[in-house]
Amino acid sequence: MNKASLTELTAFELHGLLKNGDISADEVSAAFLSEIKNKQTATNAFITVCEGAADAVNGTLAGLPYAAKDNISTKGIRTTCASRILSDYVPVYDATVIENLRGSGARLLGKLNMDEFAMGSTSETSYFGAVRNPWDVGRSAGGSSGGAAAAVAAGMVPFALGSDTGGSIRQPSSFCGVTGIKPTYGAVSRYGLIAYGSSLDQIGPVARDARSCALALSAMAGEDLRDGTSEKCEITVPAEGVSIKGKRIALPKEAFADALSAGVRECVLGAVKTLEGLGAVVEWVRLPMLEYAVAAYYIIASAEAASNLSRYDGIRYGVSVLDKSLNLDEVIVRNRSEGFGREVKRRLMLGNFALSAGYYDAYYNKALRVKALLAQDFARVFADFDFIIMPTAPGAAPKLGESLDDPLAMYLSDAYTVPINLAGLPALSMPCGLMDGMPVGAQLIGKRFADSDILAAAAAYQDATDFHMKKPSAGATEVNV
Amino acid sequence: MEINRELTAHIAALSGIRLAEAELDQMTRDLRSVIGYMDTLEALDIASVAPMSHVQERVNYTREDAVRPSIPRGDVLVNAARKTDEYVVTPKTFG
Amino acid sequence: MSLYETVVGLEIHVELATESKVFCGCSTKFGGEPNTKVCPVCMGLPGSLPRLNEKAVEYALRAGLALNCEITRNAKFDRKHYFYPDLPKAYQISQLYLPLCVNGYVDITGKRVNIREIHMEEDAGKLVHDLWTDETLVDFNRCGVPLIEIVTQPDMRTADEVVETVRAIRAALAALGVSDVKMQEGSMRVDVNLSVREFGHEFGTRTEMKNINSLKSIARAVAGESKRQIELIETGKKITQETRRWDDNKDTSYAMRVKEDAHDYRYMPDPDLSPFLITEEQLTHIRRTQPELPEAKRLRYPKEYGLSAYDTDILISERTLCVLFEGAAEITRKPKDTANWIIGEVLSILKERGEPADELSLDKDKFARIITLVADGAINRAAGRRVLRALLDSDIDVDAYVKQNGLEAIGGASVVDDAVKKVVAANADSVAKFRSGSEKVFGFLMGQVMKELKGKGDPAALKKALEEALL
Repeated sequence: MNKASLTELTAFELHGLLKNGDISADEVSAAFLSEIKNKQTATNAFITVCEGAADAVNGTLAGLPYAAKDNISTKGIRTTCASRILSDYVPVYDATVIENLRGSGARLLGKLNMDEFAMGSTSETSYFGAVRNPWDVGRSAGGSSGGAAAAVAAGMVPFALGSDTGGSIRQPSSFCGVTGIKPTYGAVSRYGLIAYGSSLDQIGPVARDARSCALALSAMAGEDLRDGTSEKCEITVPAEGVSIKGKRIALPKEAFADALSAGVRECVLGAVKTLEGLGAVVEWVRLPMLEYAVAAYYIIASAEAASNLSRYDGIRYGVSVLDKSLNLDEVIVRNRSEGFGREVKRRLMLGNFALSAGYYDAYYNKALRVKALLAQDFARVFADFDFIIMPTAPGAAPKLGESLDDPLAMYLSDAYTVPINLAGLPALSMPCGLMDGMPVGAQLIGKRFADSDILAAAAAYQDATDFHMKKPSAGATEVNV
Repeated sequence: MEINRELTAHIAALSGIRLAEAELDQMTRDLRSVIGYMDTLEALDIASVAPMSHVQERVNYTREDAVRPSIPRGDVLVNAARKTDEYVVTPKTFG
Repeated sequence: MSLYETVVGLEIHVELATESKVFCGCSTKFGGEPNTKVCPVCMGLPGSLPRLNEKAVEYALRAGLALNCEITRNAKFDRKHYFYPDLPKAYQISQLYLPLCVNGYVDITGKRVNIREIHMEEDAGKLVHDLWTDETLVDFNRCGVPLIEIVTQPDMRTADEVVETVRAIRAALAALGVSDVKMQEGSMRVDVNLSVREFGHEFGTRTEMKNINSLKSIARAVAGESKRQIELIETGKKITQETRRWDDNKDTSYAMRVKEDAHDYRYMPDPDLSPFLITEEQLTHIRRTQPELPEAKRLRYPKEYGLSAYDTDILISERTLCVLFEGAAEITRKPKDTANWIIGEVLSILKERGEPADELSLDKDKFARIITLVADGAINRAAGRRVLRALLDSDIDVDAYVKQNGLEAIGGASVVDDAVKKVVAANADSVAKFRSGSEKVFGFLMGQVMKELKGKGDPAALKKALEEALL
């Protein structure tokens, strides 16, 4: 088997070959490291590459290489959150997912580019430059886990860890034509995930297909004594010939309204047809609170971000001015003003506004009430249905530079993903077609802790289709190099 | 909600951020646009709904009172911009 | 008679005596090398998360029940934001919206002081100023030590009432064993909110005073601040609402500088900590296992042990005294004797040495042994005192010490009789006086006999022998 073809296999397929001893772990790592070198300039998917990190042991993922978004704490390996303020921060401890994956034999090949502190929908707010979409390097890879989706799409790693606070795994997966799951809130430990919105953040895998995601997630998920919001959760890898016959799928009317581009509508409804063909029962439903989700989400996420990011003052860690004549306030303000980019500042301001005296009830508390109603909406639908299906994003990947000047327009483009985080549900994005040559994803949403069920449904869909196997043309990543 | 430069400057101070004059104008416009959108929630009469701060069902996730090893002092200090052998050095609190 | 009334409310921070910190496993032990009791959680490293120590909740509940509070069944933690280098996350995990305990009280002489709430929170680190390099240094060891903050209503009117309130709260917490309550070491910190007003008028503007390190300084701080405010009013000046730092050496307070925006703490529910529900079972269990409080002892000691109210009050003022008394009395079966030994002997030795009673640690078995030896006449009281001093100095074996130092009372009949005979023979004058009715000289003759026995005689046996000889 030659090196080039190794990097085209799914993580699940590689896992089978490694387990049978058909290929060696070193061979696999070498193939992917070489692909990282080839594609890094074009994609800018990585912030740090860890060559030769090889402490493979026996385990469920033995020998499988991966990379992690750069907001996941890795002991001894720089972890920047794609921010200037953490650009030289080297953690002294590993996140629980990193420990879990090491324990199962996976090999960390590097840290992935992202929007600064995971705030953004295009991976353009990174201090280390924008991630470029392997399908068209003039376009965004999506965000904030743009590096994770781009790296998988470009064959630089068989799977990657992203984080998803309001769509940050699913939307880039949709834009890059890969499969990515945001697990149920509490399914994967957040210990070591550098917090953006603590009540919304989840770490999840991105890979080519649902089986690979399930394989990776099975090694990551579960209760962690260090995370008081984590819970017991077992993930099953979908069996061969898995079926969705008789499963009930809900289609929310509100999600197929005007804001949706015709191309995406066509792709997603096509996927619905396929699922019906596989024996699923599909019905239209109403989710009236959906239209308030973006407003509530940006209040809650920004408020939590303002709180979580107040610790970055450059004193205990992080980049700092060293001028001894400056007093504490001057140092803190300077470090933060120079250390954070514009989008981060915008959200810190929004969050502190929503929490400040006199506005807390009208904004923050009201948003928490909307969240309660939204969760009720979903619970009502899930009393009758197994899954909800809707688009992941209203369109395909935008051109680089198009999105940053109008923050509100960017926030509104998250309308299909943020409600899921507010309700703490599991959801995945799976490729379901192309629009003007760019991938489009369908979003499959499940009940709390039904992560294995949505992965099984996606696997059934992918067994019947080949959208997830479509790859960017080899030439695409060499343009503009 | 009326967002003006004064409010923006006040929120920037709370956030530990200094904005230059031009940034202050841009930020005021951005906040006005986004907070204006958030004000769509005003249409909802939901004061009787209890705010939901946590989605998880699990409560009382406590730990036993047992001492676990701390990290080496070197690790505590390693990332600090200024430090001695024993302490993190912080800028003067006043003056 | 002053025209003015002083109005005081207290905010008392108490460190809970758990082994590990409130949200991580680092040790809470006081002292030690700087920055050695620190982990990613308590120093707020990016990505770290808190886990609540169940013992801290239990201790806070015990304090709340002891101080007659209602317990909030669905308590939550909130984040309180401000920038300061001793607060590594730039927010303190505390409770604003749903504090664990509310609406309690403590009774002092002649009045009830209401407690608004008791909430849980985490302690901050310590800033150290290096005079040599003129730098401010941070030690994170205290970060995350569990605290409760007891907030009273402004119900106190005099320094005495304030001191009595603090004493009562301290004694209750000490009896529960939930805190060391040492003001000097900072495990109990009392902030005084004080205003003055003309009698019958509205409350005046209040100040908050920090850095008060002993009961004595509380009284002085209350008096000093009250005087300062009255002088301001009488000279037509305004009182500024501010935080002041008490300087015990200079017997005065100074306004502390505070940042302008510092007062908007932007509280929000902490999303990292799951809600916790206090169940009826949990409360029942805590009530059942709640140690006896000073108030209960105040009723029980006179009834069960026959102690006077005066002696009882002295004993229940310190947990250490109660523990010693109850333990030793059970062995000696002589509660009054035991109380007398503690109040008359132990406390006067401590006072003479300037040692605080709350740090007393005396082995109850050995202490009881001394009391029994004296009561049985095996040693006399003076010898008993000498053994007690030795026991307070070091962990001696009481019986061995008595023997080594030849302190046994000389009670053998022949020795005593010989001594009596000798004294009677040598003091014919005094004997004659006694026999003619002058009872005064009996004491003199007793003294002579004791001298003859080198002070080791058992006074009761001596007295009996002398009386017989003089008949």
